[in-house]
Amino acid sequence: MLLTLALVLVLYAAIAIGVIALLFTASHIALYVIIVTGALIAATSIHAGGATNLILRAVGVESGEGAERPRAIAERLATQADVPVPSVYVMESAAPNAFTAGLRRGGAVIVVTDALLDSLDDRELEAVIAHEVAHIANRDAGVMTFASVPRMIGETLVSDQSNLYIFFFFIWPLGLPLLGVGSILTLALSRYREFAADRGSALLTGRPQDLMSALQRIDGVGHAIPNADLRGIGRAEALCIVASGGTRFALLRDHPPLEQRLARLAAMAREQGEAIGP
Amino acid sequence: VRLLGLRDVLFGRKKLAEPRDDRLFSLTTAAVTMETELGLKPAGAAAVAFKPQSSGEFRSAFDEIDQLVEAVAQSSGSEIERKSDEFGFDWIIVRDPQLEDLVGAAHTLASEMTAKGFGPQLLAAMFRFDGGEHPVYWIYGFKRGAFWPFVPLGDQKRDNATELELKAKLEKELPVEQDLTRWLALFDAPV
Repeated sequence: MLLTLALVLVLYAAIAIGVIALLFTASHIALYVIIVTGALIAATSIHAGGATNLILRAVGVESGEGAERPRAIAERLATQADVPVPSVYVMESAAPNAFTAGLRRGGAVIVVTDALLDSLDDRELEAVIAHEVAHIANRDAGVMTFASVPRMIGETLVSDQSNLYIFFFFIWPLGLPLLGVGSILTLALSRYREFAADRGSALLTGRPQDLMSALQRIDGVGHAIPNADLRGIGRAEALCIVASGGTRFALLRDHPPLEQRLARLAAMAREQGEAIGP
Repeated sequence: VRLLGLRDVLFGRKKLAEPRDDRLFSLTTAAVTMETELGLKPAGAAAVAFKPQSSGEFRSAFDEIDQLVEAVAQSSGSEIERKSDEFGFDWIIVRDPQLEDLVGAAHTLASEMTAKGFGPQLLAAMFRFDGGEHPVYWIYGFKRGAFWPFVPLGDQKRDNATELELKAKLEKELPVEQDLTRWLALFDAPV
């Protein structure tokens, strides 16, 4: 994770050097880049309350109604993790999921979908909310926003629709590497932060198996422990003898694969059973 | 985990997989960890499920196997019970306080059925452990040669968290099925 963060900083330095070099050669492009960068940084560091409200409106979150069950859990876990108690919202969605918004620890928001509340039992829900509280404690929204600015600059530059020759010769060569390298670094960092939040959840609840159970249930298709009976499946089993599901290209995933997350949590479950110290 | 042979892929599988009973015995060493780390003790009961055939050939072969299992059980002081379930499977239930004897009986039954050519009829062996909130089962799938945990909560529900904890803590010493989608349930089993 430190290496990825360092590479993000190197990317920032490269942008700065590029901008300085441009100032001497083509000052109008340099000004353009500076303005875009400034605007992006300003936009992403809007007061946290305003930003989270924007996010909440964008995903169509219900007001805090019906969120008593997850809110009580979040209050308890936030106190335990020593972070300000986040607001908890329930969003209507058929997909069981949860996420955290808010750049600062204070004013953070946890959003859970109603499908998540329906599909998890209390312990599993606690493990998922503990994962989100760990994101808040680790300041992941802030870190990820900082790390994704190079990628956003790249995106802005590449999506420029003007037909000027200058666009092909200067803007694209600037934007593409920023977009490519920025994306890979941001995604790598995101995967590390997910592992860290999984670990945080296991420490907060003391039961890594609850998050494992919730993850296999949420990740659903092709992963979950079945409720079907061994005797009832008959010949269908013969057709399923080859393992299903391929993995996407690992560099382009924002979350680590379920197997890796389960394996790390399983290692924690084993450590918990061992005697501490000599 | 066995891979499909090229011939199986090209021509399709012609028969069911032969059973593997060689890994059954690892349960006896894993039982030590189960007791020290999870407080779970063998409940003194195990069962093997198989699909009976109506052919006379199967019946006569099975009578011989049944007698042998009975003889083995008598020498180790185990009790044997037979049951059928609504899925059309027959169960041989063994009761004995010694886990070694339970595993031994399951192994005898499986290897005899295989020797007589009825190995593919074997479905699973099931070993019960008590001491937690709910009874814990290790199911051994003969086709895969692997164990998976099963913690039924009643009402056709199961405790996935405890099952995953069991996998985490025992997969170093027990061949645990890694594909979670194969952890099929055996609800209302007779043990």
